[in-house]
Amino acid sequence: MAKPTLGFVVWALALIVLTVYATGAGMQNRGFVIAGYGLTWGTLLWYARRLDRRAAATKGALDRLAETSGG
Amino acid sequence: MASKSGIERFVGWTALLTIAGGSVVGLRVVPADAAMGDVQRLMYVHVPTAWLAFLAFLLVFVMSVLYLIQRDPRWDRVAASSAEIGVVFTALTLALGMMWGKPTWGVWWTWDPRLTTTAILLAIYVGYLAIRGFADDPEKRARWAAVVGIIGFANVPIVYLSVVWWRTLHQPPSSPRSVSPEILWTLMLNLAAFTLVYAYLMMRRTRLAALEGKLEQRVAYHG
Repeated sequence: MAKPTLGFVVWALALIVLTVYATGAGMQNRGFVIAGYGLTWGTLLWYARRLDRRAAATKGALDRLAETSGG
Repeated sequence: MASKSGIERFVGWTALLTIAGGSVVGLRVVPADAAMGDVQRLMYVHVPTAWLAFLAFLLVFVMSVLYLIQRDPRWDRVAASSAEIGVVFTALTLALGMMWGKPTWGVWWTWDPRLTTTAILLAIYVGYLAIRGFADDPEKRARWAAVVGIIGFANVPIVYLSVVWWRTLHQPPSSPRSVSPEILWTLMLNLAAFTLVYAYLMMRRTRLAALEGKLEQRVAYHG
C-alpha cells in the first residue's frame, strides 16, 4: 500500500481541526464551509504533488535516454 | 534545471503560511455575514480563485501574443503553464460557487449568466490544453495554442461583466465602499495568499515545461 504523503497528512489534520472548530463554534452550514476549504486546500496540494510526480517521471526518462544513447 | 531554487522555496513557504493565516482569519477572526451567515466565509476562497484564474488567462493572452511575434518557445511554455493552473483555479471557482449557491439560492447550479460564462471559460481552456495534445510538431502546437489563447481571452471580460450586462442571481462586483473594512482586509489577505500560490505553482510548472521540452527534443533527435 502506498505511504500517505506529508501533504496528505497535513491536509487531513487541517480538515479535522476545521471540523472540530466549526462544530464547536456552532457554525451554520458548516458542511459547505468545511467542504469548500477542504476542497481548495486538497486541490492545491494534489496539483503541487502532481507536478512533483511529472517532474520526476520526465527527469527519469531523460536519464534513461542519456544511458541508452551512451551519455 | 530540475532542482528547486531558493526563491522558489521561499515563495512556497510564504504561500503556505499566508494561506494558513488567511484561512484562520477568514474562518475564525472575521465575523459571519449578517445576511448569509457563516457560508459567506467561502467568499475568502471563491473570489481569490476566480481572480487568479483571470490573472492566469491574462498571462496566457500576453504570452500568446509574444509568441506569435517572436516565435520564442519560452513564451509558449509560460502560456501553457499558466493555462493549466488557470484551469485548476477555474474548476475550483465553479465548485466553490456551487457550495455557496446551494445554501444561499437553494440549488447547486442554475444557468445564470455568470455561472454559464464561467463554465464556458473552463471549456475554452480545457480545449486549449487538449489542442496542445493534437500536434506533434512543437512549432505548430505552439502556434495553434497561441491563437486559442488570444481568442479565448475574449471571454474573460464577458465573465466579469456578465453580472452587469444581464439580470443574474449572482451578486454584482463588490467595491471597497460596499463591504465592511474587516471583510475587505480578509479578502485582500486571501487574495495575496492565492497570488503567492499561483506564483509558486508557475515557477514549478514552467520548470517542468522546460524539462518536458528538453525530453521532446532529445527523443526527436534520437528518433
